[in-house]
Amino acid sequence: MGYVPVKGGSEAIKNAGRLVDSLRSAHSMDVSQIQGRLRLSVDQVMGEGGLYAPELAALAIKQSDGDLVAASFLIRAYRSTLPRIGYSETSDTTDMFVLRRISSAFKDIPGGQILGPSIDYTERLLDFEERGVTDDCDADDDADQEFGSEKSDIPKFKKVSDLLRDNGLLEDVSADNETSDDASNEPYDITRESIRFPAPRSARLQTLARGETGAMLALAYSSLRGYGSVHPTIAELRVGHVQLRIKHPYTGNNVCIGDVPVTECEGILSGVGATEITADNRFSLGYGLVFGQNEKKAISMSILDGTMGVSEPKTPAEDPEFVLYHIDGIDAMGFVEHLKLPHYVTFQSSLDRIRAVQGAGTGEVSDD
Amino acid sequence: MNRDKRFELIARADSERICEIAERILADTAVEVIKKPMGGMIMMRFRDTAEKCIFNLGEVLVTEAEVRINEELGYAMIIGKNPESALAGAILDAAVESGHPITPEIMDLLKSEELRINKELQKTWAKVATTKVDFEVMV
Repeated sequence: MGYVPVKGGSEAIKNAGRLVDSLRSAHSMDVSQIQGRLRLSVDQVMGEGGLYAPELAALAIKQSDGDLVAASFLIRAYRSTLPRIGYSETSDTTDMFVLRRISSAFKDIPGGQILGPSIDYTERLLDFEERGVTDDCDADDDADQEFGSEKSDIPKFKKVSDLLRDNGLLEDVSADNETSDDASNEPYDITRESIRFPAPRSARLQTLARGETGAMLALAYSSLRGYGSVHPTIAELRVGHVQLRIKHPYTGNNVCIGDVPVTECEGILSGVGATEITADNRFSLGYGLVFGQNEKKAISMSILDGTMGVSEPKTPAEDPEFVLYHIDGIDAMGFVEHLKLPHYVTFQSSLDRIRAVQGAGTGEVSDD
Repeated sequence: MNRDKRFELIARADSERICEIAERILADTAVEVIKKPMGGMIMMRFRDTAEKCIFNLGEVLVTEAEVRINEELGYAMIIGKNPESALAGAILDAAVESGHPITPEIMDLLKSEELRINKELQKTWAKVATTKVDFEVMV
């Protein structure tokens, strides 16, 4: 069989796009509505797209008709057109403006448990009164009145992991990592260099931070269900704003240009496997940090950080190569969805082969 | 108010307010644009608490601009895609640095923006604080 190039379908492609437009036009939606009302979707897209840009993430959700992986793809494609101006100063969440902060390990934590904005404590029942309701601009003001305006100082919260460490319950951190600010210990950057195995910790954390929520949830869940040994207790889950700090180009000082919302999870790895308790009878931590409020991803990240630390991997969630190669939503979607593209030639070759085998087989059938 | 503080407040200030002052500076002052407002990314680096390892969390979209007024440079960087604010911010920065007569007005604006930002944070915290759990031990 010869190779036959074909072309065509331009008109059909145009019309397929028009058909999508005709489905969209019935319900017009403003980007600011998406940003305001679908905030968790916006956060998810920013995390998986690897770019903090709420307005553009909302635009991407609109353009992709609500397909969050497709929206993340649009954000990744956009970020690939932008220059990298520089790097932030290294942050942590010690000085976070906390919106939410809970611990499932301790009832009493210094500063208290702050539930913050969460629907965790509500019934999972459809609210039919929401149907047909349009957002009321005055609703925000009304809600503010309900809260009152009592003035109090904005506190900083000591991290539960620091308390554990102070009490000698957490493993000591190696001196190498503590001083890894210097240029010789530059963190791996998976956006500049493909990940290689064994991957350094910085590459693992970066890959997890931009991983697809559903994929990470599934793998973390597999460990909890028994296909792995990690089942952590959450020392602390915190959601809030951290400052983006850069070096001022003229003064050389560390300055803040604004806040970025993040979710952080510290899981105490008290499972039943090799990660249970370290040689010196201390716990170890699994770490999760993601853009925006995405708690299931942050928790999943801390679990997978733990599973990948197992010394003798036995399950998919404990195999860094398996986890890190399969949690990228854009990679996964691209590979799976490419199956929709024409494979006429390759399939024709398979068809030819099977027909040849069938034909040969028929010829060989004996009368026995 | 030193240059660092000014830079921080310009970055968080209300876009319309800084653009309005920048327009007025442009009306009577020669402003040379050194770096046109350009979108770019800052890679955000964190240190994890488990092993104190520094890693790249992800990038943040920013817009930066640089101008010169009477040999004095001005620079601004704003989170998001906002070329007007970045250019206006750089103009304000250079105007103050070059001793432009509008400087007291810029300072007043930045001080009032600082108050507004702090008030908003207080307001948010007041709401968040109502969700603090008061455990009761069951007997």
